[in-house]
Amino acid sequence: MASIAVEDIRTGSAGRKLGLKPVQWLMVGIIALALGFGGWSMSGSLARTVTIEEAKQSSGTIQVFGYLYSKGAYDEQLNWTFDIQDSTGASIKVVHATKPGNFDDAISVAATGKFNQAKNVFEADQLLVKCPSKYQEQQ
Amino acid sequence: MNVGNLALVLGLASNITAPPAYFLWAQGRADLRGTARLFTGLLTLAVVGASAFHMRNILTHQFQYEYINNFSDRSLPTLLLMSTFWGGQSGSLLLWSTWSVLFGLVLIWGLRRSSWEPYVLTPYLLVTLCITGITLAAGPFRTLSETPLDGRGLNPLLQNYWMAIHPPILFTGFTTMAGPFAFAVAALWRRDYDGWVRLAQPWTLLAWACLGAGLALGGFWAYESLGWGGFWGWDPVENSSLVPWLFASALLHGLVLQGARGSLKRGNLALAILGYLMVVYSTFLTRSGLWGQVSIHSFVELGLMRYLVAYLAVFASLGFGMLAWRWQTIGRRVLYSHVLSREFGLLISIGLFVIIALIVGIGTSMPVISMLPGFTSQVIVDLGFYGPTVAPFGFLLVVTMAVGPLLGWQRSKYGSLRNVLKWPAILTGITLFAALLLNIIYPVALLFIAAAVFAAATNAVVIRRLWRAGPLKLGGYLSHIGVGLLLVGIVGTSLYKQTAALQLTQDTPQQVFGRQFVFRGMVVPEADPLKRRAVEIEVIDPQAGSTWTAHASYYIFEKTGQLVQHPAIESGLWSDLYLAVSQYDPAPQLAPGLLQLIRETPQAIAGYLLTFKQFELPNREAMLQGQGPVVVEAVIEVLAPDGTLSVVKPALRVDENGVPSSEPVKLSGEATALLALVDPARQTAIVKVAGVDLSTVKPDDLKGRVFVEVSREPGIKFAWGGFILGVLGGLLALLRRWRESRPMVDVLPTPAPTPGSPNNRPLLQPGVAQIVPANTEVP
Repeated sequence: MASIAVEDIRTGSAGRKLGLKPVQWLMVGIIALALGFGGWSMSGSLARTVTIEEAKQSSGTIQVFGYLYSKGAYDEQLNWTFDIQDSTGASIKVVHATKPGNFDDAISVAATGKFNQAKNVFEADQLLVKCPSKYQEQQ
Repeated sequence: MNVGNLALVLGLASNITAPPAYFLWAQGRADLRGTARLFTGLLTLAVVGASAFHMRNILTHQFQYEYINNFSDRSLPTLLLMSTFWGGQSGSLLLWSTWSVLFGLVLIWGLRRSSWEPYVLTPYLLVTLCITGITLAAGPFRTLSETPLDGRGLNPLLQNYWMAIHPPILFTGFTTMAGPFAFAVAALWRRDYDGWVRLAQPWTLLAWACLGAGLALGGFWAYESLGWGGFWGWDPVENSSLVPWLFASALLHGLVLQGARGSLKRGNLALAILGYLMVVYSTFLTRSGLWGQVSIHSFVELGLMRYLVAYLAVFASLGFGMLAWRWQTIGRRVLYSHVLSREFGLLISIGLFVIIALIVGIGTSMPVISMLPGFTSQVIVDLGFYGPTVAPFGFLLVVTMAVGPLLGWQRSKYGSLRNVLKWPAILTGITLFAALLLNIIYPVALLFIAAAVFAAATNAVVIRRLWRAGPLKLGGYLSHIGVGLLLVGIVGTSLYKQTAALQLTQDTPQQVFGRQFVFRGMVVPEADPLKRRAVEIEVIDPQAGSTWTAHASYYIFEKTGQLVQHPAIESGLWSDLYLAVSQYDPAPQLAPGLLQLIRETPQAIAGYLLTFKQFELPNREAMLQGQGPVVVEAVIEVLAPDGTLSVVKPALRVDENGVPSSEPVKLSGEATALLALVDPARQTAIVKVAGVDLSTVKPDDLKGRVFVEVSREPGIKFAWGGFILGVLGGLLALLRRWRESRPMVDVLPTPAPTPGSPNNRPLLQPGVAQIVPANTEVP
């Protein structure tokens, strides 16, 4: 118990001012650290939604949305490739590691990833396939 | 107005009457008790009646109802037919509403001899009012002007027995989260900031267990049926159920802390309110259509947005308004500041749960947050964000979980801890050694496995100590062991998952993961009662000398023309082998010269490249009137060996007697093409090419191909086992807390402490302190 008393005396004046105990200071510190870490981590993973024209100029992680323009096929490395076109008529080739399950029913796709200037393809690490089906939901 | 709507309107009317009656009762008009209960009973009767009516309509195929027409049909077996009740938006809201009123009865029954009833039921009935109102607005009983002969059917992806189990459990979780909220509001109202703890505990546990079970079942469903591989994808819809569960976890630990030590009074009230708001907020997110471009789950805005926003605003202002109003009167107990105390451990774990909930919640909300002014365009978070960001806090949580349960409430000494930790440490050492032998050398994986095993072992030590106290006291520690197992599963499936993409030609073996894969063809497996077509792949394990014949369903759902794929899974204790077929290409030639042409897919034969464009009906007018023969032309683009491009239209003609005939058309030179068969539904045509050198047809041209994702999911059984143990532990704890919360001692509202002396309250509530198991203290 003695150590507690010492702690109380040591932090007494500072603690009184803001009404916080050492444990609470620790919690505040942890939360501040967590927020800092989370914010830093998030700043690296934010993806803006852009048009296909903008996508071709960009270098970071972005999301593009477009209507399916080709049926899609596997390339030599067995990556799934297809073309999408947006309402302005611009189109882009998208490459993704796997073929999404409901791709054959898709009409439009939202792809998140990076544009590869050298190969002139959009390398997606995340695809969201939208199907024309009537309203259906999953829990 | 039909019976269903009538019942809902009657329910709504009773629901509007009941809360004021309860309110006045709480304010002293005890004579209104009968009235309040009567209207709550009427509400329950009406909503349950509406549900029964809805279920009857579903079972008897009343397709004049828009909802039933949209989500059900005559072909569904009874269990799935019943599941269509919650297959769509308005039906799932009706389910939620039904659960809410039924749990309202449970609440009344549990509190019937307690002075808490009116205080708790007033806010709770506001919750049911909102849900029932939204249900009515969503319109499950809307009718069509004409009655269709058959419905449009349930989405084939939902045609699974999990559909009968998963949503009701998840909605039980959503519903019961309203319990702690109502208790917290009641506590603030009657200024009894400790008495609610005992009452809210079973509700929090039930919500926690149901949300947890819902998450686990959803993961299992996706794994087993949807072919995602793995059980968790950080999908917004998954996240939006995870966040309330995290808040429930935080509240659970907070209530234990307050029950035993009387601390964290304000924190628990805030957590209970926030937890329920998160349920409403996640409902708002998943049903508002805001995630059109973010979530795999396709939800469409059905005009419920403004109701949900209003719902959220009402309960946020009610909860936080009450909290702010009473804030100063809530007595505080100084938290014990020693680091090696159970109190501190619980506090840390609560903080970590909240931090993880914030990370997941803010990440998932980014599309909504970026609609605020100051953002130029919609922003989403890459899925790679969640795992690494949550991991360090998850690690700290597991460490807390390992040490916390061993600590005494006030203070433990390092020396005595060392003694207790001996066996868990040895077990962890053995596990690490075994892991190294299994070539697990990635430091993060080793760190997490060590923490998980250590945590499971220390909780096993606590269980051994508490054994004689009876099984009911073991719930929490059992759940902790479950979390440890789950973590091992997460490490396995996230860090040691191996995936390979294969292109398999029929009957041609390929090696991967030390096994041989042979695609045998499309079959209808005898074992499948639904007789769905499936891709048959033989997997030979030369080491074990065993062969597994995998059948991965791959078929067209006739009603919607939707392609449905299910994975094939070879289940093993240490790891699963997971086959997900992504595409099947039929053999280009069924026999030499016999081509199966798929629309817009060029096919080569003897130097010619044929691309089938579309079908044409040259005498459509006559055909529609039932006159003249049926003639179908296939428009085919031909690239000849000499480079000339032409379009040919071979035709298939069926005369009045149903006899088909077809004339060959010239391609170029000697080559001719004849339309042998058409399949307008699948947009394929079979063409017989003659007059070319068929000796150039390669054997592979007569074989089909499949594209398969093969993956190994190590440790997935640990994850399932962990889930089951975790939920079981929660249910045990629920049983214990339910017993403790009854029989209800009728306490009249305690007089309000004077705001000026919040710290003068007794440190421990006498009635509550007995809950502390004395033998959990470290000797």
